[in-house]
Amino acid sequence: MMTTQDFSHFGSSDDVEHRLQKLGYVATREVADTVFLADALAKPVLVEGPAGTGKTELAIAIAGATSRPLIRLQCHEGIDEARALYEWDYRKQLLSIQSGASQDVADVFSEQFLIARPLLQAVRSPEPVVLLIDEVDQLDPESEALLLELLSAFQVTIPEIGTLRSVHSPSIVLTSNGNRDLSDALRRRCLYLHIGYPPIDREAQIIRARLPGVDAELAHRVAQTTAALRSFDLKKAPSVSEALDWARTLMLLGAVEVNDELLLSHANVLIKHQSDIDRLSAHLSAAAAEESR
Amino acid sequence: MIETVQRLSHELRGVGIPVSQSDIIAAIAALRVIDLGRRDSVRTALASNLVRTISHRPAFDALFGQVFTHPDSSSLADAAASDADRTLDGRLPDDVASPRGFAHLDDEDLRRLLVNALGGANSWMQRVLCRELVRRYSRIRPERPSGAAYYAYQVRTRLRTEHLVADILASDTRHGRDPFRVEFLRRTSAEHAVKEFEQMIQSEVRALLAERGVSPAVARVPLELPEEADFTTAAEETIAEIARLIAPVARRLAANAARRTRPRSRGAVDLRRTIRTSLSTGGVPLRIAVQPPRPGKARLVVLADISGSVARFALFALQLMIAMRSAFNSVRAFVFVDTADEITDILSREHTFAGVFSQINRAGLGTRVGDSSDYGTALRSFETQMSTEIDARTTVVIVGDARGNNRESGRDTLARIARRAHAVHLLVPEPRSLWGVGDSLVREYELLCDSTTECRSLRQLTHVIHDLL
Repeated sequence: MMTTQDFSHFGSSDDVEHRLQKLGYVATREVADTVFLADALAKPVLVEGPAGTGKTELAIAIAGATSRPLIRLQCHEGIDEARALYEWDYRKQLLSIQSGASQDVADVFSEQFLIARPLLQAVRSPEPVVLLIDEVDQLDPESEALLLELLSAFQVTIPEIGTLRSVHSPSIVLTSNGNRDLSDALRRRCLYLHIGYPPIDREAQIIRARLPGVDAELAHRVAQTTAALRSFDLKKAPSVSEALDWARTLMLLGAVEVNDELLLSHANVLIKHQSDIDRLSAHLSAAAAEESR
Repeated sequence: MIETVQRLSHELRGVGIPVSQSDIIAAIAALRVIDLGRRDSVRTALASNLVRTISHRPAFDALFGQVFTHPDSSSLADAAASDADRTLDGRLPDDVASPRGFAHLDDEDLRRLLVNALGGANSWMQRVLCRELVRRYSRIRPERPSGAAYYAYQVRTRLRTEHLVADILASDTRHGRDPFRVEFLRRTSAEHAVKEFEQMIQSEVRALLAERGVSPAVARVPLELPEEADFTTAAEETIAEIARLIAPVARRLAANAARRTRPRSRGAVDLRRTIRTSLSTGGVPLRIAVQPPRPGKARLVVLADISGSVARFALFALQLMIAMRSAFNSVRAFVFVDTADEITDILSREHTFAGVFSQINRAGLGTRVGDSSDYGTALRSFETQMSTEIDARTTVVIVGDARGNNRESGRDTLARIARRAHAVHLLVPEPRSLWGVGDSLVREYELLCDSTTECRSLRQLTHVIHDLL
């Protein structure tokens, strides 16, 4: 019977690929293999790559495929223990002492006075979870150390209480845009996965998976145009998510054909720098002038 | 299996990729759970444990191909398996529905298939064709001591890759599937496809060489990590790769600098403001006002020799420094051959390497007389233009091999500049062993500069700039 099967883990790389595909995430063989390895070896995955290639999306898809809740820590500069790990609920402690409920000072340093932040939440969760640590490269190098204990042993040490150990090994996904070199200590604890821009046929496949009902030919052309723009030296190359937005725009407009008017009039969906748009339109009009000559 | 992983790790260390013992153990642990029947799965399992940066990946793939040889028979099936999506198979002619069916096709048919696959962006088909073409054209003879580069060249010549772009463009219009009416986009995408295919050929040749038992030392020729490649001798593709690394390196360095200049402690007490605020609390200084932090940022002036072979390096250095403008108070860039000309504007306007280069050439910047460098005249013209600008907060960086062509060295000028400036650094894109040999002025300048550094790769350049901050 199927009921005996544990859906919170993956059986094989094919299983990963299949289950992610059902959620509309087109995984390459490499992604599927790495996700499977991470699950089987209970190791965190560090996903690197340019913005908008589906790194965060991957964590969400894993959570969906394993029907685990997703706990997300969005990293930013200046994040500290109180934001990432835990904080003592100062007011609750005060109230407890004033009301006389706590006789001993040590009483107020127990788990019930703890505010669990994402990392502690993941450790304390009674059911297996997916922990997404988004944009680790935004973290100060000093704060990186916060993660190390969690990443290697799935535990968190709180001086007043002791070490809290996770019941289940959570799947941990870290994402990074490579804005800063992460420390070797962090890298060593993770499986490394790089997600780059997909080749044209795969990108077309992604567009079809994410936008059901899109014309196959249109999807292919959108992918082709996006790829051409990427090799065309822009300040910021259009990402997969921008290609998706563009395809969605074209779909809404009922377009079946990609041409330069459509490219230019909706360039702002695809290209996010005005100087890039200007350069593109200059090139387009120069090329058009040449053609008509 | 364990020995093979160890051998691979050894090879990786050989090209400068750090692999620790625990990485090897983790890699072997990964192999125990992965499907060993699939070559790409094995590769992923090893790569995710042994490689920690994407720029090391090409080297890893090449070495993997050499250490984990695969029998010829399985390779086509392997190529077929390595890509689960064959959604575009509809474009395959029926007679080659099985990938083994290529043998009976003649060269022209193969080429036509390839043009279609490149134009239609069918990556699975490209891979299969690449295997067939390399096997057909490379004519590998294991006894001959030729490297991978040689065989890849053979394949490219026989395939006439230089005409591929034109053929793709022609076939696009013939079939009426014309994704871009505009020439330049169509051309860019075709050129990109061909370039990627050439790389595919190269790695396929390497794999085939390993398969035929050619020793890795011979097969390995161009295996350099891009950040360690020598600017002056690197191949065109490596240069392109370095150019792509410039922006992320600049971002990383700037982030580091921003972090360092952030105030760590509170500034000195501002007595005046403290007393003024204390008035609102009856003269009791409840709130102590401190002076706002003023991180000292250097003003950077870069003077780069763009004659001959060092031009490429010089422009990389300039681009990198301009890209990190935010980390300095100001950055001004000068180039020279025999006269110093400012190109700060060009660098901030053009962000591609080729663009900067053509602008400089069009305006004939840096040269007045000839195309061999004249350090004496150049330094003097630099001093005239910058005489009022250089002060105790200015750091001057001179980039060049200091090959003076036996002309005047201009050491007095440099001494004057060095006295006025905060510091003068000399970056030499020439191996240390050649310093002071022949017409080199490095030894002479060395005495006047605060530091003289050999700087031939992106990694060295990054270190230098890191220290500058």
